[in-house]
Amino acid sequence: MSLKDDVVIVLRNVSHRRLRSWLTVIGVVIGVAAIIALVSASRSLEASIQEQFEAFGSDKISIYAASSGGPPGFDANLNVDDADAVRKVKDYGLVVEMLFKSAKVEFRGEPVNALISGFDSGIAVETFKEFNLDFREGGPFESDSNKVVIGSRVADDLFDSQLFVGSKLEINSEKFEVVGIVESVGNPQDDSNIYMPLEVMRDLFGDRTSVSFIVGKVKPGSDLNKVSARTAAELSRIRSEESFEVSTPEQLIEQLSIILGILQGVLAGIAAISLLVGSVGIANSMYTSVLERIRDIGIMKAVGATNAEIAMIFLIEAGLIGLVGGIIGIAFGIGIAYLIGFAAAQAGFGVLKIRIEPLLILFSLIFAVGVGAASGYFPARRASSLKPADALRK
Amino acid sequence: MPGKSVIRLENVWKIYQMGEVKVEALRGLSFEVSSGEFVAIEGPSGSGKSTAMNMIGALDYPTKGSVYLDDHDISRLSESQLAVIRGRKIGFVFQQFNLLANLSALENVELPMMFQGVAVSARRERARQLLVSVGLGERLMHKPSELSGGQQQRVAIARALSNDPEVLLADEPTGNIDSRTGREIMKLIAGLNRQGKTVVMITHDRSLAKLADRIEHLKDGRLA
Ligand SMILES: Nc1ncnc2c1ncn2[C@@H]1O[C@H](COP(=O)(O)OP(=O)(O)O)[C@@H](O)[C@H]1O
Ligand SMILES: [Mg+2]
Repeated sequence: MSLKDDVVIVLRNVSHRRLRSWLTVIGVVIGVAAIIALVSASRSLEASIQEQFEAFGSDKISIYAASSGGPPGFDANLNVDDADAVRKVKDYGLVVEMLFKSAKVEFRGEPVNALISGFDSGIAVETFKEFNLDFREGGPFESDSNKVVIGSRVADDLFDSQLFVGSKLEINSEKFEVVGIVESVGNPQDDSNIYMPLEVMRDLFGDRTSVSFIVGKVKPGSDLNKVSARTAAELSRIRSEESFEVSTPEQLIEQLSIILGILQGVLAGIAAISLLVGSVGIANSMYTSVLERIRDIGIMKAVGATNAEIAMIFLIEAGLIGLVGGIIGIAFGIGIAYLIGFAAAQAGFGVLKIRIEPLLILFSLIFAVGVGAASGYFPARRASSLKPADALRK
Repeated sequence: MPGKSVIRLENVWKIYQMGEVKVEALRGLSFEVSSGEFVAIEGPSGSGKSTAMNMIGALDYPTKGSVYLDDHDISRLSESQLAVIRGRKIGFVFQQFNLLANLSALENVELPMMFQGVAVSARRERARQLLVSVGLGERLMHKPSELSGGQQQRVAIARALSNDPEVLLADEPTGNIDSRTGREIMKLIAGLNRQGKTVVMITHDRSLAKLADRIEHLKDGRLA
């Protein structure tokens, strides 16, 4: 019996039990769609974060106070002496000390809370460039005056009315002028930033010493790990080893990868469970299919079908359910993954660029057919081992 | 001129174990069918006729004794070897027609040829010719449910002939159809025998059995 003939017989049979066949297919669709959507979304998230880091630069070392639980930088436990200590390390081409504070910001009488980031106006041009902040309007502040650069969400979403270059803000009751608006970087927190000259910020908040975060850009050709060790050594002279962190992009990516790995594991687990449920559905459907067709099996055996040929017919039926479920599931899964990306973009996380890996699709398809065939294996064996005389009595 | 031996049963026993109870369906059945013969096996219900047909047709194994087809003992062959024998050497016609409901008349007739690996074009043409020869040339694409009992049995006869088997085995072929149509089916079978086909027909109807060259009476699992 040729494969084509097998398929003809299988198709006749599944179309005869159309509704039940479709219900079985749906079980596989859900499993495969879950795998594609969840795995794609989490892999895309990982790749997007990686890209962000690469954009930030593989040549930068971050220094922040050892976390007491909050996000890095918010404890403001570093100070200007630490920044000076970092500057003593000769391998840095640029050292930026940053101060983050939350403030009440008012525009046209509408007050909101926003995050203010301050850095030295003397190196503002380089700093914006190194942080990949491109200007969609205006440009950086270049002197210590009451000028600010705002993120795209501050301009577009934070207030009822739109802000432009030249708009006047009140920050902690002092007047500031918007001189630049940066393009969205794809995450809502960074897009909601307001940048101002560090000196002005220190006056405004009455804080002459705090530093939230220090970024050093190493000179070309330097070994990041060595520079990081030298930086730590320098800082250790003036503060305890446990009170600060010096991290390279690799380390940050590693830490994030662990978290993402756990997330991916959980998501893959959910997907695997749904596929398992789908395979139970196939097995169940195949068992009832065998039971319903015991007589047909007897007939086919009487006209010359061997056990192997009968088993093949049922295996192909199960595999076909897996294949159709797999194809539809992949289509749905891709759709859902893009929907997740779209929803993330709507929520401001434009960094999450959904990418679908061809290998994942191939794997899912093979997996779906494999699960189908495996679920159909025992029913198929049972079907094929029926004695023709017994089968015909049914 | 008697032909060569096609089927020979030697002291065949078939004992079914039903829990504690043993049912002796065949108790030392022996008989022979020669090439070109038309033999009727007649007997009351429960006498073991269908069990005998299962033995002759390689649908089941005897508990004891031997079954020879073309002088080869088939009672100890493997299931897949038996499948090949069923497919090539035996054509079955059952009381309940036993067509596949999802397949058209044409496909049902093609089915045994599919299992023998006959190419599509060849088997389709042969199936069509066979259906024409049993008077169903106009019903090729009909499903069994769209055919009358007599027509379904004609499809079954065409199917039984598709691999040009040595023996046509019919188990109460008219049992499920009205007597007028039944006579036509019998005429068809008798005609096939006149064209040279060896026929073994099982029936509990003496008047039908009379059409055969030879009648064997089965009683309590052996020839009376
Ligand atoms: N698979 C089976 N299991 C148990 N008993 C069977 C089986 N097949 C037939 N029998 C019994 O064997 C006897 C002969 O049955 P059968 O060959 O079908 O007779 P007939 O076809 O002449 O009516 C009956 O008593 C029947 O109940
Ligand atoms: Mg019977």
